[in-house]
Amino acid sequence: MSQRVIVISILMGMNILQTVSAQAWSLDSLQALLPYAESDTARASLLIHIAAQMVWTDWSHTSTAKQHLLEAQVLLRETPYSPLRGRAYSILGKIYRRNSQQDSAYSILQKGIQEAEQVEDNQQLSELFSQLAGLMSDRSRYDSALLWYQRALIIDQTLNDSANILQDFGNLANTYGSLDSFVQARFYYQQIIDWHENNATSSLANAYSNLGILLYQQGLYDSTAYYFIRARELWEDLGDPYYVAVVGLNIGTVFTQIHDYPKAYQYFQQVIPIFDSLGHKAALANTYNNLGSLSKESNHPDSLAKSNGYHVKALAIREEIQDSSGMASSLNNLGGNFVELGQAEQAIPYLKRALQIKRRLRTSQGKAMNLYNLGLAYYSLENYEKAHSYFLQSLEQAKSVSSPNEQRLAYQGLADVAIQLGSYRDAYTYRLAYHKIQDSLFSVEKERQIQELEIHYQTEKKQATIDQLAQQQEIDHFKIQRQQSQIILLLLFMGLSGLIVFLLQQRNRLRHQQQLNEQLLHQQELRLQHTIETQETERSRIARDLHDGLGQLLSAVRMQLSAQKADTLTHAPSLEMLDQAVSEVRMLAHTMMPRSLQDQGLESALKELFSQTARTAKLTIRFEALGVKERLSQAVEIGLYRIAQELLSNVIKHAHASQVEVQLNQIRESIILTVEDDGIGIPTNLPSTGMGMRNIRTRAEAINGSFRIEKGPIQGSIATIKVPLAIPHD
Amino acid sequence: MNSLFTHPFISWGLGTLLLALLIIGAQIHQIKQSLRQQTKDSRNLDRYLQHLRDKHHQHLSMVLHYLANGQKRDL
Repeated sequence: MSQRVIVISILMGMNILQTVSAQAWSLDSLQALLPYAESDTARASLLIHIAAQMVWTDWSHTSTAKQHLLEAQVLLRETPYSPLRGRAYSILGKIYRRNSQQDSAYSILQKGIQEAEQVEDNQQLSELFSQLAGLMSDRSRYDSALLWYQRALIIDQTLNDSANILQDFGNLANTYGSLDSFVQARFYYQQIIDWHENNATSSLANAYSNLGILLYQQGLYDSTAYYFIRARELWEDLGDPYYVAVVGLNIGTVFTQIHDYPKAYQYFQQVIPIFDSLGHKAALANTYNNLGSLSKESNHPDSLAKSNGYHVKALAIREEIQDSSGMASSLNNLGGNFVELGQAEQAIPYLKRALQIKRRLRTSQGKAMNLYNLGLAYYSLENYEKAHSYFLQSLEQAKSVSSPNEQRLAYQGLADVAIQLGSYRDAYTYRLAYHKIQDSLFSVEKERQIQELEIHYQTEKKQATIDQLAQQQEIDHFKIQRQQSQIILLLLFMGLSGLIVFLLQQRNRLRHQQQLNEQLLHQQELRLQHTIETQETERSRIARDLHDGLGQLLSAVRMQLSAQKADTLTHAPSLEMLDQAVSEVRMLAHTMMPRSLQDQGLESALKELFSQTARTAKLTIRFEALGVKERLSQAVEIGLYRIAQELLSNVIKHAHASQVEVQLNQIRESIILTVEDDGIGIPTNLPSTGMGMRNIRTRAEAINGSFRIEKGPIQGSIATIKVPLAIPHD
Repeated sequence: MNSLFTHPFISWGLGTLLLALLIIGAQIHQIKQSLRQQTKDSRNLDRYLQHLRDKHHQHLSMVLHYLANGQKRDL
């Protein structure tokens, strides 16, 4: 029978953090400052810092640290309480605890608590409570330890000091673990895990690791393996090979426990090079020891020899590092293997040496198994009396440490020896005891299995609920998102529709405005045409009146005067004046409305206009009339005449032309008047709204015609007015 | 959200609304331009009418002046 080792690594994240921050000031530099401290408080402060540094660095300077702290306390005696003094109490408490001076530690911590409570220095109180709880734990007074840890937790929660809260959770979990209150312990570990939310920190890795150990103690190996594997992953992420290896060793042990030997072997093999390179010989020896135990479990014929090989390696390392307890364990394992190999004589010296060490160390760990192995060795050598004696000792030892498995084995050995010695009654009694324990162990095992199954079932149930909730949450989230997008869409549609309605209203309003404007324009145009017509009528009436009335009257007067022959000489100036008056009246009438236009038609009027203009403006005007056989309507004739007048006026004013060619053609049912000049042509920026152009256009429109002006083929411009004759214009 | 917008009914609906907006916007722009032109035309017509009246008045006053004073004045 051999022992397996599981490395228990309960570490608190806070201690690691404190160590790191404290290293910022080196011990030497602090000590060098000491002579320069002028005031008592400064010196005390330095002394406390030095002591703290000494305690954090290593425990070899505890006596110096203690002296410093006592001196600091003397220096601070007269001053009122300060956190510095609280710190001194806390470090002193730590040193006393370390030196196993538990009473001194207790009194100093109590004193510190008393002083800190008076001034409500919560930070120091929390530290002192934790120290006191630790002290209670050292004394195995776990209930009391729990109380102090809980008080520390309350203070840390008030201070919202997350690092200390996590430390308190860890301490509480460990203490509950020591009290076998696994549910509470698990609760606090879970708190740490939940706090971290999968952030890779050493504190979380420790929580996983410690929770694994707790579950291992409960025999819940599947869950143990799960948490150890999580811890190992985290240590890998954090890049700490030592803890990767330690947790790997533990995982191997768990796999051994659940009889998954290949995996266990794999994990053990993985950790060997790590421990070797890091120089952790104790851990290396533990790994070899575990490999030794593992090898024995395989069905290979050389399994025991192989196992011994590993145990020998473990023993050699343990001898080197003088680990007596480990040596005893290795020796016992080796002896046990020799007994099983049938080499009892060889086994006895190993086993006796192991027993000797255990007796010297006064340890009960593995002692029952050691005695049992010795009993077995003597039984193989048929030395039944010695065998009986060792089995009996083993039984007593097993009873003292309440180890049912070892008791069962001892009873079995005792029964076998009794049979050999012929004491069948004793053999029966021992066998009976053996079976009783066997049954109880079996039921414990069954209970454990049922418990594990129950946990599995509960876990699966919870997982299913969690999955369902997550799914529901996802559905709800999706629904909310959908609702949100529906609202956005609705708003978008409403906004767009509103905008469209508004724009439609705007468009209709503008259209209405446009129609009104069109009507207004039409009315304006009508008014314009009417004005033109009225003006023309008035002009022609005045012209006729002047010509037929005043002109005829003056002509009659002249005729009468000239009839008076006698006074010819006398009347000559009057006759001349009368001639001038007749001529001017005719001219006036002609300017208002050419007589020729009314009497002879457009062609004659135009000819007259052009010949007059050519004379006054020194222009060569060629006029041609083709196909105009009959008189046109009065409106068309006046309109075209005025247009020709305006065009000619434009040519004289703006075109700087020397020649003008005018054509009046009747082509089918249209009259076309074309005025072409050789001037400078129309400028590109000619305003289409100029009065002249407007005049021409309006007059053309008034007689239902169209007007176009364009550049000439070489130079100058060509204006064309086309008037249809089919529609009556009057 | 995206899936909602890619739904054929919604995307067509949105597309139609946007198209309608575009068309109405273009129409409004056109009408506004036409209104501006109309205002300009109307103003020009007014000016021209005034011009015609002035010119006619000039003619008549010239004739009257001649008849009254016996002196010719240039047209």
